[in-house]
Amino acid sequence: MKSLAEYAHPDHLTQASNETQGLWEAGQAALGIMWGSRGGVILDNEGSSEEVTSNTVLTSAPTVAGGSIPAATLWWDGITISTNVGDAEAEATFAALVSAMTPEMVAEHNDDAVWLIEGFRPGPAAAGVAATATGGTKSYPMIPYIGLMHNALGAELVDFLKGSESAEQAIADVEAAYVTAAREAGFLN
Amino acid sequence: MPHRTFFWFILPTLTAMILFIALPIVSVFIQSLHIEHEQVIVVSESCGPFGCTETTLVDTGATEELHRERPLGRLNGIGTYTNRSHLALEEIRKAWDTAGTIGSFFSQIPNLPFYKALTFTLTYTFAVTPIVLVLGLAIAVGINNLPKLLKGPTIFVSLLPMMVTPLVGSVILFRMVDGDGIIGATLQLIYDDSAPSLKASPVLTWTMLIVYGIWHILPFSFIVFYAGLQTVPRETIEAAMIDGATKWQRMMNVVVPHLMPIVIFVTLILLMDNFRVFEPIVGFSAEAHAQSLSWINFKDLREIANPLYSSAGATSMLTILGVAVVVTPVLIRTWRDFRRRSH
Repeated sequence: MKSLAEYAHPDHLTQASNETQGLWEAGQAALGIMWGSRGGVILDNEGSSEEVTSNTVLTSAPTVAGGSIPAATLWWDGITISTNVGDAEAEATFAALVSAMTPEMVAEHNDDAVWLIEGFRPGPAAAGVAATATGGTKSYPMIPYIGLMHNALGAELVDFLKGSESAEQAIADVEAAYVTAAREAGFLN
Repeated sequence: MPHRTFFWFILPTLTAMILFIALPIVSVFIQSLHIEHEQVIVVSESCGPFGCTETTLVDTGATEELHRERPLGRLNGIGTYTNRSHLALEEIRKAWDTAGTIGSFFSQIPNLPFYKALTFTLTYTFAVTPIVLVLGLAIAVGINNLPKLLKGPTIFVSLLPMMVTPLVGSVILFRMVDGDGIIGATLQLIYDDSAPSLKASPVLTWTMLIVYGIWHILPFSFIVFYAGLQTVPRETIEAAMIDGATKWQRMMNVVVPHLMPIVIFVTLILLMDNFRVFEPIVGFSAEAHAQSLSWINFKDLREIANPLYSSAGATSMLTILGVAVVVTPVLIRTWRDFRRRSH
């Protein structure tokens, strides 16, 4: 990430998904690693020029240091039914939702999302996510303390990316920040 | 005013302040002394699109039990205040023991989140406050000398920066300063494409935030000084003019001493407000280069699954302490003036 950051926009530490999408659509980037949901948006007719969209190809997330698993994690949208809803209502909700998840529905709305349902055929906008998934990418670990770790990484790795800290020091900082937060949240003693 | 009358007069305000300011502060302090209960973790199986794996979950039933018995959590005393995300006493001691030189000891301090935030907060406070005081007075004097017709519209225009919501104003300036925005592109034009980006380095980011802060809070200082200028006694000014004092001498020897109580008031308010700087950092997405005490408070509360309430509470208490420390010299001066006048 740090060696790639040298090729990035000088303001990259202040840019979030919307700004990077804007940079891509303005034709100012040659390589991008983005959320899968941006696939459809950068290929459509809004906000970009023909020259950029015709030259945009989505592919799998890259691997790192000669490994074979793409360096990414997969997030999936699902449905939940809260426990304080009555049993009859819960059953009816479940039945209604499941009966909508049919291959016919997917055929009608094929390009609206990346579906985990039979009959989905990845179009150009979903090519990236589909390739990443088939490459064996792991799902995002939905464990209770991942949020604390995620935030500790975000807070302490910045100094390394800015070049003001060594990698070892940054990792030590991440560990210290995570341990502090986890102790407070009751995950560690 | 007799004391009894004063007491009844101030009772409603006092009640509101106790209910909505004092009691919440006490509650936050108590919260900051506790940490969460130990989470009850249960290992189970989770089946996803790619098969079944082992996963860890929080046992919500047992956790609710614990919360019902002891809602505040475990008592941690001042443990939260001394941990790494606050005063970091342990880390400072370690750095002191292992550092070779004073220089290397001090270079390890900004690595600690609280001190990093405190550095920017203090820099911002002590850069913005004096500049706003001086500029506010200068603008007030300038507008005071304008012809009557122009005064009204000029005052209105000068008040505009404060009317813009801080978050909206900072986002607008953020977009303008971008390389593709009007200010950024003009800078590129002037420096022939080799202008440094205002968002890329900490120094420039801090400067940008301080300039925005000055711009935003200037109208407050201006309007209070302008009101004070209307009370300067004409006779004293005329006497000074007859004695041959220049404009500058009249300013320094008549106007400024007369406005001293107002200067102290504005300084108090500015110090308190600037110490709690927060919106510009969010609006400029500047957290990679500049963090303030209020910002690290916000970051603790934004953890979605496990908001760190006691850490945020400790930061709040330390912020209140910081404001008290910063404001003390001004209060001492006010106290001395008060004692001098009543004798």
